[in-house]
Amino acid sequence: MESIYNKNMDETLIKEKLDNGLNVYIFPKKDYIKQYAMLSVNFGSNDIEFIDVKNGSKRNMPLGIAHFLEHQLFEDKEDSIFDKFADLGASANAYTNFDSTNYLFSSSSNFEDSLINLIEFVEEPYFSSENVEKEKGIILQEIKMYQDNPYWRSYFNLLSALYSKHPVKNDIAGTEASVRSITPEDLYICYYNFYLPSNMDLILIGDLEPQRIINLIRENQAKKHFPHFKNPVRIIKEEPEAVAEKLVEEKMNISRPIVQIAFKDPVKNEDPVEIIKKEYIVNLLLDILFGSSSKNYNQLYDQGIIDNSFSCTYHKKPDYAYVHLHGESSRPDLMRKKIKEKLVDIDHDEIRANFQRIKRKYQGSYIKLFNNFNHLAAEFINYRRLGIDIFELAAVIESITLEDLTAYSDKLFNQDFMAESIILDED
Amino acid sequence: MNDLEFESYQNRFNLHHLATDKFKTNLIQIYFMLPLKNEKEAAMNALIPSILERGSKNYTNNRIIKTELENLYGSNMSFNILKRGENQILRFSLEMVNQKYLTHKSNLTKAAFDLLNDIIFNPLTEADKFKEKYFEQEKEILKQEISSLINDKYSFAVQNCLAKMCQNEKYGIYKMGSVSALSEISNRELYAHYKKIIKTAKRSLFLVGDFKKTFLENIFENTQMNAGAEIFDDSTEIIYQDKNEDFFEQKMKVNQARLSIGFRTGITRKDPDYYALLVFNSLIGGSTHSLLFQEIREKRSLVYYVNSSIESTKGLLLINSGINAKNYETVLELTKQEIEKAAAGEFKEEEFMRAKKSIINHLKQDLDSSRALSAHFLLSLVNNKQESINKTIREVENVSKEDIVAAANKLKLDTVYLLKSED
Repeated sequence: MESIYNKNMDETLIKEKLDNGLNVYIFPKKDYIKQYAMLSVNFGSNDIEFIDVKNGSKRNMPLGIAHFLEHQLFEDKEDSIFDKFADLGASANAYTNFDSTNYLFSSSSNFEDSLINLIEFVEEPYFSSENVEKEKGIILQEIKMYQDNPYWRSYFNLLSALYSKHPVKNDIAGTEASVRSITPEDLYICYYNFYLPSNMDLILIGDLEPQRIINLIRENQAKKHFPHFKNPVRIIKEEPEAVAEKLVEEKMNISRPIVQIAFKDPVKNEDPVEIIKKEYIVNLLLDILFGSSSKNYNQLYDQGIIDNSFSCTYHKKPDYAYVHLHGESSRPDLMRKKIKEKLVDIDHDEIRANFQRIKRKYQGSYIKLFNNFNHLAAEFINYRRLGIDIFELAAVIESITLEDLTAYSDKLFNQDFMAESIILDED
Repeated sequence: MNDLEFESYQNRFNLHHLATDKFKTNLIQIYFMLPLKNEKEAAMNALIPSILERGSKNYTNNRIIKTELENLYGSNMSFNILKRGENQILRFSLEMVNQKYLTHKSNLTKAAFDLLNDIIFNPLTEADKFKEKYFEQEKEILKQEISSLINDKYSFAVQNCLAKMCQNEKYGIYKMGSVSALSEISNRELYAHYKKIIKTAKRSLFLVGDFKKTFLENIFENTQMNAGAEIFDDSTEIIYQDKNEDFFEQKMKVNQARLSIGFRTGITRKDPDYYALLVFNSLIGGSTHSLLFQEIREKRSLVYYVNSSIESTKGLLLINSGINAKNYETVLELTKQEIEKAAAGEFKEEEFMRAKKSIINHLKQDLDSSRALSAHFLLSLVNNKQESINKTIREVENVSKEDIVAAANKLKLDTVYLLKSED
């Protein structure tokens, strides 16, 4: 058991790797009543193609399978999983994103029993044809709900314009047709390949006794047999540099148009710390150029072209990256034109003048990461998978220099790699 | 260090302070409470914070304000328009990191509080009006914001159901007024209205966190906020009557139909059976343990979401779901059935216990969030029944099965609203 105390944040992180490869991380939080546990599986909506470790054959799964599997694990032979948690006064939930599936509960008592429940239901799959068919009705309603969400729609339209091969272009829940095609066998294949202890991380936060809890988990895991310990083998298709489409337009019942613009950023093999650092550098840069204190933002706001729905972020993962600007505007074409104009003409003096202040803002947001358990767990696992512990972020932010920003400012906004997604009003 | 309760001070204004060093941030909130009168006043009240936020005498534009907030380690300043019963509440919030986590020492709480005060009490004016440009622009933006309700079909259905249900009551007014009422507002009358509410509206200041002694000692000197009544509700009309249910249907191009079912409970936070209503609400549609979730989603896969919620100042209960339009009658029937079963006491002991445990779990977790602590305290002030979270938990523990049955029997179905596609 390794214990890391961070003096600046007055927080401790306990780490333990079990014999079966399961990583356990604990943030003990004195005086807190809430207890939180998240079992995160390194398997998300992007993991569609892989080599089956059982027989070496190539698998191509229906879109949305990770999300479907998340729903199905809540099915048991007899009792309802939700009820088991509810009986303990705990509240269970789960979510799937591009790269992970996360099972969690929050409680204020009976933590240990709830924790065992969590581990047991994720480690004991039960997929029957009857349950799978029943779940399809629920998931199809979930898909329809998202189809009526204009931001979600325009976001996935944007991703499908940016990427022609990379699976991030697909909706996390899949399509109506892909969901209908899912069978129990598909689910068992994915489970066999990805749901191994060594492909999971368990994050626990609360006023907990770390040693006692680790012993409890170790005892539980020692009783279990796992069919294999081979790491999953994902197939990542080569993504061309160029965007798939320049512009996607759609009409929906909305109050005014939504504009989303992205610049595809090519990825190379990078060191984990470099990936995280670049994400911060570019986000700092975007804040200086288009954040709510920037010259550009305030000019466009004053001209009535954008309002506070406007925001910009840089998303960076090991296998894909893009700059993302979006907002609502009653003059979408003018907004697109003006933003593009501003991007060609980047003012280095502005970067210089505002750098220290924006860096301070990021130092503040680092501190805030530790306030909310759910947020902390999600961010912790995001950085852990990239290869660093969350405490190391402070040093990454600290190390960023003005030169780091100026080095990227002329490279990011190449209009050859730009894609746009617009939602217009129905009438 | 304490049991996380607010201490109240009546001095020049009403200060409610919860001292704790649990959090990484400190929270300051200023509330103004205004009775809902008509759409135009509601629109005026909603417009004021967005104009104030554009610039004040000492921080003349948004860029200067945002720059200052960034200097203060990304302190967050925001405002919200809330509706609690037949009151519109303007909330100004400021959240900044606790100075003790900073390597550079800075007096950021005081600086951020000065900024907030300047924004609220020292607006930029031109000849007894707000700065004309800010007025015009923010009016247009608020118009867009009111219209944008249609983008979120869940809230759109909820709001339309409530508006139909309470069309002859003040509660039917949307929390931001309406586009047509907004267009009638002139800058001059808005500024006069601002001056009036700054002087006469009920108001409170909340502090949650680890504040320095000197900051607290000087707080009355550091704000221009003046004396006023505490924010408690004395205007909400509780309607509770037998009637034939109304049905409203709206058609629009949508993929999923939305069903909202509105009930009158006649029970508010002030009433002794409020706790029984809380448990009933949890039992019927609180979360995954609820009767509706089990019956309509888990057993019949008719929905992805179905939930119920209560409005505890006006005495309403609302059940929401996203459905296939063709299943509308089935879902409505099943919902009625589950409520009837609960009213007849036909639920299991473990279902009852899960409902209770779920509320208690959530209430306890609220003790770990500064915003949840303050939201809970706000409702207790509005309903003029100051009660700590721990006290609420004890009351919920004492609710019996019979209490729930009694609460379920008080429900009166009022309005059914369905949003569905055109074909």
